Amino acid sequence: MKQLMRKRFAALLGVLTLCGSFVVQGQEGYPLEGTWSGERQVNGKDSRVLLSLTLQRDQSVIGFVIENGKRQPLQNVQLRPESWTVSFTLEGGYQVEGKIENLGSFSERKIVGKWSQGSDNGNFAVKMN
Amino acid sequence: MKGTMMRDVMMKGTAMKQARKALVAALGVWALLGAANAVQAAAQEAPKPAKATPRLGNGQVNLGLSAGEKGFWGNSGSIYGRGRLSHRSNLLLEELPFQPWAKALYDYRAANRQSDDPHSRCMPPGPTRLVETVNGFEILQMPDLNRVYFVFGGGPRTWRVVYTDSRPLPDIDDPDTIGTYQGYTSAHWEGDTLVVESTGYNDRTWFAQGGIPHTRFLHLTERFSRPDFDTLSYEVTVDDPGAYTKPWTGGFDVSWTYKSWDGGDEGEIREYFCQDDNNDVLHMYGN
Repeated sequence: MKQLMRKRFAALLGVLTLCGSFVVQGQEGYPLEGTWSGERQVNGKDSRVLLSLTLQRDQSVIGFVIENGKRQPLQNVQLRPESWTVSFTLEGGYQVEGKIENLGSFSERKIVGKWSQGSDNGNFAVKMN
Repeated sequence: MKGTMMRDVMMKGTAMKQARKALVAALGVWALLGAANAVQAAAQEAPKPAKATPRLGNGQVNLGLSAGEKGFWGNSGSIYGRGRLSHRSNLLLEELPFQPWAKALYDYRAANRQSDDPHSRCMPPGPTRLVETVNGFEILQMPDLNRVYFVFGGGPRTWRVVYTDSRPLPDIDDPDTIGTYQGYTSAHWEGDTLVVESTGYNDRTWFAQGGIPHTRFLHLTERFSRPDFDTLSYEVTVDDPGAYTKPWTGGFDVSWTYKSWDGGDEGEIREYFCQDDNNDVLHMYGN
């Protein structure tokens, strides 16, 4: 699994160099599985984020965020299918509460919500690659 | 006067006897005709004997077209539910052991009339969907090459290669294993049944009709048999811990189709290509 994550990290760096998101093919399985890219609003400015999420056999979800060239693993990733809301926390960092939009879309699926850390907070929005 | 009356009485009596005889004769004829009709009707209602299962020269069951015959595999059932051509032993939809997210996703797709079906955007069908199609499919066996080809008759012209050399399946947890639309296959014959193990699927399809989800953990065990010329029996065991809480099994029969889609007597799958990269996706609907 660590090797899989390393491969995903390398792939995400490749995406960074392309300077934009692109539609590969539709992902029709577990709705969070895959890579996402977007922005986290920090002090009124957009900070580019890349998110990778992987479903495990035991239904747990692992992942990481790449922001400002720094890779941080995720903790406590939760998907609530009754409302299609998502939450996760960066190890030692901020937490995100969001909702999946355009669940059935192959090109417009998004996680839209808020991040917070202490008294700081802002918008968080990523789109599936 | 008395003689006339006597003659009248005698004539009436004779006439009545004759009428009675005629009635009895008529009743007898009617009974005979009825019996004949019953026999004829019984003969018409009795199912014709099924045509024998065809075999290749090596004695192996031929799952595909035989020399001198025409047609292709057409109408099919579903791997869940008990509708026409679906197996009576199938689980009902509400009995499928969905993981909670998988059930919620299925409900979402159903509520949206399956308008997000990737197959309607000319994406390939999944392995079960390939044999679960009104467009038909063909099976080509190449025992000398240890391969069986399933050729899809639908718009995304797809084929699936089933290897019958019992090769090992890949480790899907190996990051070098790239998931594919039709998976990696390893098959063998158990008597007259082709048993196909497969895994290494990507999650870019709806692997079966109706939008039931799967994940990259999907492992299928499929059984193909041909109990008679006109019937292909398909059974699959779905083992996907990502989407289902336990393995489950379902199946259906597929009917041999003698007519082309347009009713032509050629009994061939017509050329039909859907439009890849369709830019009007938003206005397309499934089913």
